[in-house]
Parts: sequence; structure tokens; C-alpha cells
Amino acid sequence: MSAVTIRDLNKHYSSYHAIRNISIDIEPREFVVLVGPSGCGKSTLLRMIAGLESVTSGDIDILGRTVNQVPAKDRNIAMVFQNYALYPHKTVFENMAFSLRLKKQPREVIDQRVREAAAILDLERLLERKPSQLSGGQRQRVAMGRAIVRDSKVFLFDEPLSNLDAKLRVQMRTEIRALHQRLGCTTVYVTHDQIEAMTMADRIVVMNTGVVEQVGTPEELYDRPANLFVASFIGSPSMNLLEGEIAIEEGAPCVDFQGHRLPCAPTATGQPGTKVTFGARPEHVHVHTDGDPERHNATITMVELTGPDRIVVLEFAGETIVAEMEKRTPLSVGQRVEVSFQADEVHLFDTATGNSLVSAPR
Amino acid sequence: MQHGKGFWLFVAIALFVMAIYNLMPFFWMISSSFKTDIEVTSYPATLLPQAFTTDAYARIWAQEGFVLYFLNSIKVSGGTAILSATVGVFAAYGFSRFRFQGRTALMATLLVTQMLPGVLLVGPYFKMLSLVDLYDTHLGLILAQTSITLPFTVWMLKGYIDTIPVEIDQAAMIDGATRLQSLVHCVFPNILPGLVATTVFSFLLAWGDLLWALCLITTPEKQTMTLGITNLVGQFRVLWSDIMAATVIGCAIPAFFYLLLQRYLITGVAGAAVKG
Repeated sequence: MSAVTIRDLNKHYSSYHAIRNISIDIEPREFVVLVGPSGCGKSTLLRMIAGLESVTSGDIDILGRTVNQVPAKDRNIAMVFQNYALYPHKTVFENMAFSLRLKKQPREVIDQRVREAAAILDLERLLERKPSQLSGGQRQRVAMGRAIVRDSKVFLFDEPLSNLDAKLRVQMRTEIRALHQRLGCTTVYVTHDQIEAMTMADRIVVMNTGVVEQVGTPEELYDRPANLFVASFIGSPSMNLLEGEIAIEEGAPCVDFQGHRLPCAPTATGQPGTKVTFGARPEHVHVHTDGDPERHNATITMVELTGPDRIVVLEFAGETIVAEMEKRTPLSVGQRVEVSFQADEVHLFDTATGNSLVSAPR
Repeated sequence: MQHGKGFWLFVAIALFVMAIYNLMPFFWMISSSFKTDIEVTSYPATLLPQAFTTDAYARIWAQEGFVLYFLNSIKVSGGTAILSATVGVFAAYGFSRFRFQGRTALMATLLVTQMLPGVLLVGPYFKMLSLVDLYDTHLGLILAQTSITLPFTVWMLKGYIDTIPVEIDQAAMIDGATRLQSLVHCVFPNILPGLVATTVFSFLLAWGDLLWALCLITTPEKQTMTLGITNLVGQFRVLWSDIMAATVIGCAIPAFFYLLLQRYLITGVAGAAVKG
């Protein structure tokens, strides 16, 4: 039995169709990330699971029970909000104890559960403080503590790290992931940050304009994007996309881009002349300096150091493409180089529909 | 920019004059309440009592009905304040948290009622209260006073509730609270300064009212203190020291509330200024 099942879910706000026919199964103990640009409906979907938004049509099941008409307070879920939503007038202890007090739990049980959660999150010293006396990271931990004490089977996170600075965000990412492994609860996590999604998720649901574009593991999404949206959304720097058309060279399909013949996977489908978009991840753009005439000429327009690697921006047949290379490769702005691509590393999409034309997984 | 001594001297004099202008009526009231009947009307007037006496206070307290007027005022003002705060907080919560048709129009209507002089409503209220047998009752007076204080209360409290993220209510509901529980446990404590400020405002407005009490109460035993004080103005004689003593007693209750709740009041009024 799935922990959360969403079937043919729709949400309308007057004439605006925010969630369009979404169906997802989330397995017990799974960490699923809903990712997409602002306004794609990911938070709306999470809030529908939480019971904070009504369902226009379709069903939401939590642990086998359809909860469409069940109020938020009776869904036995825990939720961490983007702005933490701690009760400002209560101490950390009282914030964490609130749900147990509502359930009229005995004082000893409340004390024990809160202190256990505080120990897990390293909050023991802060129990008597008010939220205003805490740092962003500590508030985040209290919000998680409030969720932990409830002993819920399903945890919902709504962009919980977006108010933290970059360093703390990385640290909290690890902590949330560790917490998930320790508690073994089913987690649905919303973010617009694809790096957060890639590093935390067992499975990612990519959403755009209220529809699910693709569901898969981070590797599947990165290596085999189902369409142009997923290809451009997942990965940083994003995938290079060049518009051309299918051609045949020596009996094999390739992409004709401004007269350059670019390779494509042998499994790619499509008739010659079909308008296609050729895709190559930055690490799959191979830059050479040996002057080989078989390769494609390009000019370096910018070089950015990222630490272990370098991002090289190139002008290639009038288009800008990005390559990711090892730091030690000596390159300079204005230098003329050659680029090449390998058929088993590149992607091909139908320009009209945006769908991938690579039929079989690689 | 640095200001010279002349500027600061001007500021000091201006502040002194304004302070005198504001405090003089209170000073005169207190001073007159301790004067004899003869001294209070003597010419030229004396600033401080020449013969200090508390006779006026003794007479007022002993006067038949004054204690009753005092208690009636507490009853009407307290009732107005409690009703106004109770209805106001729920209305403000609804306006703040729910999006419904006509919400903006309703809020605007509430605001417009604040711009109408209260005297315009006396006639309709007289008629309505008569129809439901509430004319010449304290409940009728409380309802009338509440209609004046409620719009302000709702607007001010809505401003306060707006500053509390809606996620606080939602977090409470996820934690297992009903909407009412989330309001009581998580919203109320955070709008307490605003709630105190609006409650005191309603109380003071009702406490100082003369017009509504004059028009809606006729039985002497049901009259409020403001009416009781006006009764001291006779056709041929005005008992100034008695009136001043009664007024000092009348001011004592608001002053007591102010001292008791000044921490919340200052936070509440300042909060409304920046949060509204």
C-alpha cells in the first residue's frame, strides 16, 4: 500500500486551473521532492495533501484512507512551512508540545516526547527560548521538532530552506535527509531549487503549469529527461539546446545544425527534415585545442572558475553554449577551439512537441 | 544641522505653552473640586484653593443616585467594551483570513460608518430599540454604543491579525487544532496589545458618552454618570465644585485603566501605527 496516493487530482481557482489531472504514488519511507518554477502548482499540491486547500476533483489517499473531506487536523500529517510558522508567544518547548497538549496527553508523555525530539535535533539548551531569540537554522529545527513529536507517518515540507543562507541551506539539507533516514517516515518536500531536489530526493516530481512533466529518480531525470522542460530545468549549468533538423549521414541519423553535423543516439526516432532540438549537458561538450578539422570550431567568450572545475562559455555557430571542464585545462577568452559531442551522451527532442526522441533508455 | 540656543529656547517655550494648554483644564478641574462654593465662583478667580476642602466630594458621594450612576456607567461601558471586543475580534479574523464576495465592500462600509456623525443614528436607534423593547434599557444603550465602536475595533484588529502569518493558523490546524482553537491559542496572544487598546478605546468612548445616554435612557435609576453630572446644572444655580468633584471621580476610572494597561496600550497604538 502506498503512503500517499494522488489520483486524477484537479484544482481550480475560479477560471484558473492550478492543478491538472495529477496522479502520483508515493511509497512508504520514500523521500519525494516536488520541484518546478514559481507558480507551477507544487505548493498547491502539497497544501492539498495537507488539507489546507480543497480538492476540485480527484482523490488523495493517505495510508489507504481517502482524505478529501478530512480536515487538516485529522489527517495525522506533519508539516514544516517556508517561514517556519512557529508560535511567537510560546517557548520552544511549548511550540513542540502544542499538538500533544491539544490531544490532552499526560504531562509526563509530553515532557518525554518533546525532550526526545529536542535531543535528536540538538535543541535541548534552547527549550525555554522564544522563537525570536533563535537563529534561522534553530527555528528551522524547532519547526522540524514540532513535526517529529506528533509521530506522524507523513511529513510535508514546503520550501523549508529558502529563508536560509547558502551555507546553512547545505547543512540543513543534510540534516533533513539524515532525519528522514532515522525516522523512516514518508516525506513530500517542495522546492524550486533543482539542486536541493537532486541531492535530497529518492524520486523527483517535476511540475510545470500545473502538470507533472516527469517523475523519476534524480539520475533518470538528469540522464533521460522526458522533454525539453525537464532537460532545461534539471542540471546546473543547464543543458545546451540547439535547434536543427534530422539528417542522414552515412546511413545513420544525425542533427544538422547550421551546417554542422552533430551526432545523435542510434535509438533516436524521427524522419529526416524533422525540426529537432539537440541537447548536450555542459560536461558532455568536449573542448579541444589540437586544431582537428573533423571537429566544430568555436570561440571562448568567458571562463568562470567554480572551484574544482571551470565553466567555459563558447560561441558556436552563432549560438552560445556552455562547457564544464577540469580546472587545469589552459584556456583563455578569445581563444579559438574545437568542440565535439558523443552520440551516447547527447539528447534529442522534437522541437514542436518538446518530447524526447530517444526511444530507449541509455 | 546644528541648531542654536535660540531655536531650543523657542522649542522649550512652545512645548511649555502646549503643555499648559493641555493640562490646564485638568488642573482647574482638580483645583476647583477642592474649593468652597463661594471661592469657586469668586472674582477674581483663585488658582489654588484658599481654603482646602473635600466637602464637594462628600456631598457628591452622599447624593442620592450618584453611586448608582457610577455603577451604571461601569456596566454600560464594560458591556460595550466586552461586546465590541468579542464581536470585533471574530469579525476582524474573518475579514483577515477569508476571501469572500463583498469583503472589500463590507470593509469599506464599516469605514464609511466611522465618517458619519453619531447623532445621525440616534433617531433610527430610538425607533429600532423601541420596536424591540430595548428603549430605556442598558442593553439597548450597550448595543447602540457598540455600533459606534465596532467599526474602529474591527479595522484596528484586522490590521493586527494581518500581521500574523496565516501559516501560524495553518500550523495550529496541522497540529490538531480547530479553527477556534487556533484563534484562541495562537492568534489571540499575539494581538493582545491591539485587543487591549481597542477594548479600552470602546470603554472610554462609552464612559464619556452623553448624547446616546440622554436620548436612549429616561428612567433616573438607569442614568449613567455623565447624565448624573449634567443633572447638577440647575436652572438657577450651577454647583461648580460638586460638578468638578464628580468629574474628577469620573476621570479616575479611565486613569486607573490607563495606568493598569499602559504597557499594552502604548504597544497597541504604536503597533497599529506601523502595522495597520
